[in-house]
Amino acid sequence: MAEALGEPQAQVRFLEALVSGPVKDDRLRPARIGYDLSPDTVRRSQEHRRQYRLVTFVGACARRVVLAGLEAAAGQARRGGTIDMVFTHWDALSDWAAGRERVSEACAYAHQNLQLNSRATLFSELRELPPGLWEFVYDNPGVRIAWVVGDRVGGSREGTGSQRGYGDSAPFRNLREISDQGLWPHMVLPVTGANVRALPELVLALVDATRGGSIELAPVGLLPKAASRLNVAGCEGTNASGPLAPALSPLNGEGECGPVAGEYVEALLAMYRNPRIPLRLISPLSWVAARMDSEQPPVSSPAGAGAALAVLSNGDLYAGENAIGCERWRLGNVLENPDSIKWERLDVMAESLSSATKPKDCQLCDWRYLCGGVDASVLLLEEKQNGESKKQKAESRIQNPGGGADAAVLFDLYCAPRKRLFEELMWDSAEAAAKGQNRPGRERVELREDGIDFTPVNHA
Amino acid sequence: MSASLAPPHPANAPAASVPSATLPWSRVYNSLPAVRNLHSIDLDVTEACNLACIYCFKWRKQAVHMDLATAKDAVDWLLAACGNFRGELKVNFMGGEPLLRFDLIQKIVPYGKCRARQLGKSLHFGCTTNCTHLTDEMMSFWRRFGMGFHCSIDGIPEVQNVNRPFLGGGASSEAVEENVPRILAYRPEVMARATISPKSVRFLFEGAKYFAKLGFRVMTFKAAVNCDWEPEDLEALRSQYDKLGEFYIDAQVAGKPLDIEEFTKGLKAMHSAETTSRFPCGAGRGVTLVDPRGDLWPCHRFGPHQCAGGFRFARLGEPFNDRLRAVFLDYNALEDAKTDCANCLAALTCRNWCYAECVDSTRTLYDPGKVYCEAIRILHREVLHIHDLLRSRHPGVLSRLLKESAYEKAA
Repeated sequence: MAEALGEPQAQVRFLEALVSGPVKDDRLRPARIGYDLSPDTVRRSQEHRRQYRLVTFVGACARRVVLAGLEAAAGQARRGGTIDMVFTHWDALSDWAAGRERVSEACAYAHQNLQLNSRATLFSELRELPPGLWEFVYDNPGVRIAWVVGDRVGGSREGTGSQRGYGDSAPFRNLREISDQGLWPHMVLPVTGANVRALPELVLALVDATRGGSIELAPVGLLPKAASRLNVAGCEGTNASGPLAPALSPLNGEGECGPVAGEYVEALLAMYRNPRIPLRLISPLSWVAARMDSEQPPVSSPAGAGAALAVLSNGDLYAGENAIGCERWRLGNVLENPDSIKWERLDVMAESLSSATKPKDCQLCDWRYLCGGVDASVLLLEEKQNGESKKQKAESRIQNPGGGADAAVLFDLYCAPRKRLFEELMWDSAEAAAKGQNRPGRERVELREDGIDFTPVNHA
Repeated sequence: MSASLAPPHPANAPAASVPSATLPWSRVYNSLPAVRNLHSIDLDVTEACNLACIYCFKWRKQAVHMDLATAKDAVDWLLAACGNFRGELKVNFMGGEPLLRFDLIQKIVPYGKCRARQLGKSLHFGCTTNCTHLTDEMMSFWRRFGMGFHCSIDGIPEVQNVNRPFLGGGASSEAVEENVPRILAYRPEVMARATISPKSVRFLFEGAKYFAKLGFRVMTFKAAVNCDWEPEDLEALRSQYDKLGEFYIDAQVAGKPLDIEEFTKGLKAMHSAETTSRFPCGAGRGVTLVDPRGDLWPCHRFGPHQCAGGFRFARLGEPFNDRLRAVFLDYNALEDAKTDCANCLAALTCRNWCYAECVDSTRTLYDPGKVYCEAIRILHREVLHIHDLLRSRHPGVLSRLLKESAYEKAA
C-alpha cells in the first residue's frame, strides 16, 4: 500500500482490500494466515500434534501406503508420543492373511522405527473369526477389534428371519466369543430417533454381552454422510429381535435418522443414573468424566485440530476422516515427495475452526474451560454441510436465511449432552464431598456370634 | 509375521460343566470398593479336596465349584478394583485343591492374561497345591503361561501321611514325592510350606532335611495356632528351631542354596531401617478372597463360620462394605494390639500374625493369642542367635543374606 492512507479514497480502497481477503501476491502471503489465533494456541496445537496422532487408513491400503502414511504422520510427532491407527472400510478379519501381516507390521514399525506408542483399531463386520486372533491380540495388546452396532448383519439382508435377528446373528455371536476369550471389543453405536429412548437398555445389554466392551455413542446427526465407516443405511428393513432390537429398527430415510437433542440428553442422563452402567466405558460419558478428573488443562478444540489424519488407499492424505473430499484439507499424497505435503494447512485448520464455525454462545458457556470447544471433527462436518469460508457462509445465509438451522442442530447434539452431564457431575461431586466430611473416623470391630459391631477408636 | 510370542489359546481344552452365567457382567461394578488399591485375589476355584488334613481351616468341605462366569467376573473385578496400581497383579488359585479344577484354570488364565495386557497391566497367576494331583498337561500349561506354584506339604512321609491323608484314607506322601521333582524342575525356587501341629512339631527338623533332599531351596514352617498346644509341645518347638537354626547356618556358610523364610525375614527385619509396619498382613487391604459363590472376603482364612459371615465384604454384584474395609485399611497394630506387646522382645519383628487366626483363637481382630506369641518369641530368640553367630563368625555370609534371599524371589 504505497499511497498515503490520509486520503478518504485510499482508506476505502484499503478497507475493500481487507474485506476481499488476504493478499493475492504469493510472495507476500504469510506462512500462516491468522488474525485472531494467538501464537500460544498455535504452539499448543503444534505441541499436541507432536504428542498425539490419529491416523485413519480408509480402505484396503497397501503395505507401502500404510508405512508411508505412518512415516508422514510421525514426521511431526515426538519420540515416545502416541499414534492411534484406525483401519476402516477394510475388514482385516475377513482378509486375515493380509490383515494380520499389515497391522502387526504397522505396530512394529511405529514402535521400532518411529519409537511411538501405537494402538490400532480394526473395524470389522465380524462375519467370521480368523484362527489365531487371540494370540495376535496377546502379542499386540494395543489392537482392538471394533464393530459398528447395527451394521449390516452378516453382510447381507438375504438371510432368514432368525439369521437377521440381532442376538442370533453371526457378528454378535462372534463378538460374544472374542469377549469370552478376554478381548475387549469396541463398539460404535449409531443413535437414531428410533433407538434413542431404549438407549440405556441397549447399552447395558451390549456391555453385559461383551463383558465390558467400550461403546462410542454416535448420534446419526453427527455422522458424516460420506466417507463414513458406519453403514447405517445397511440396517434398513432388518427384522430385529431380542434385547438389542432397537439398534436395528428400520430407519425411514435420512431425514428421520437423527435423534432429537432433548431425547438424547435424557437417554444419557438415564445411563448416568443407572449404577449398573460403567460410565467409563461409554463415550461421551467417559469424555465428560475424563475432563472433570483431569488435572491437566484440556486440549482445546483449536489446539487439538490437526492431530487427526486420514490416508486413502491411493495415498491421499487428509486432515482427518471428516475432511475427506474437501480439497481445502487435502494435505498431499504420502507416496509422493514428503516435502510436498502441506503441513502448514493444519495450522490454518486450527485458525479456521477456532473462529469460523464455532457456535455463537461458546464464549459464554459456563463449561468452556472444561470442554475446550466443539471437536474439530464436528466443525469439519459443519463446514462440509454449510460451506467452507466465512464468505460462503455469509452468502448462503443471505440467500437462505433458514440455512443456519443445520449447524444449530449439529451443535446442539454435541453441546447439549455435554453441558448437562458437566452440570450433573459437578453437583454430584459437590454432594459426595459434603458426605465425605461427615465420614466417621477410625473404627475397630467387636465380634459377636451373629455379626460384628463397629466402635470408634479414641486414643486421646 | 514370525511365530506368535503368545502361548496358544487352549481351544481344545475339555469343556467344563459349569452353569451358565446368571449375573450380568455390569453388576460387577456394583461391588467395587471406594479405595481401589487391591492387587491380589485368592480364587477359591473349588472347596473340594482330595486330602483330609487334620488342621484344615475350611469350615466345611463340600464339592462346591466356582463356575466360569464367576471366575471371569472375579478377574474383571480385580482389574477394576486395582485402580491405578501399576505393579504386578496376582491371582492365586486356592481351594480345596485347585488343580481339581484344571478345566476352569485352563479357561480363566488366557482370559485374564489377555484382558490385563490390553489394559497395560501385568497379571500373574499362581496356585497353592498339595502336590498330589499333577499331570504333564498341567505342567505344560503352567510353563506356557509362566505360572507359579506354592507347595503345601508337611514334611517326612510319616508326618505327611498322618496330617494330610487322602480323603478316603491312604498315604499321600508317595504322590507328593512323585510330583515335587516335576515342579522343581520347572521352578527350582518354589516354596514348601509346612504347617506345624503339636503332633508333628517333633519332626520339624527332619522335615526340613527331607525338603532339602527333595530339592526344595525355599521353605517355611508355620505353627497351626488353632490346635491345642501344651507347654511341652512349645518346648519341642524350641529345640526343633535350635536344630533348624544350625542346619540353616551350616547351609549358608557352605554356600548351599537353602532359604528358610522366617529366619531370613527375621534377619532382614533386624537390619531394616524402615519402621515396623502397622499391618500384620495384606488381607483386606491389597488382598481379597473370592469364594466359589462369588463372595468377597478379606482373605482365604475368612468365611461364613466367623461371626455369621460378618467379615464378608460383598457378593459380586452387591455393594461393597467399605466400612469393614476401612477397619483393615486403618488397622494399626502398634496402637490397637493387646497391651503386653510393649514389653515383648519380639515386638518389633513380629507383626505377621493372621487376622483370621486372631478371630478364631481370641475372638478379636487385635490379639493373636498365646500360642502365636509363644511361637513367635521362640522364633525371635532363634533369629537373634543366628544373627549373633553369623555376625561374629561369618559377617560376609550375613551381609550376603541381607542383600538377596531366595524366599523373596519365590514370593
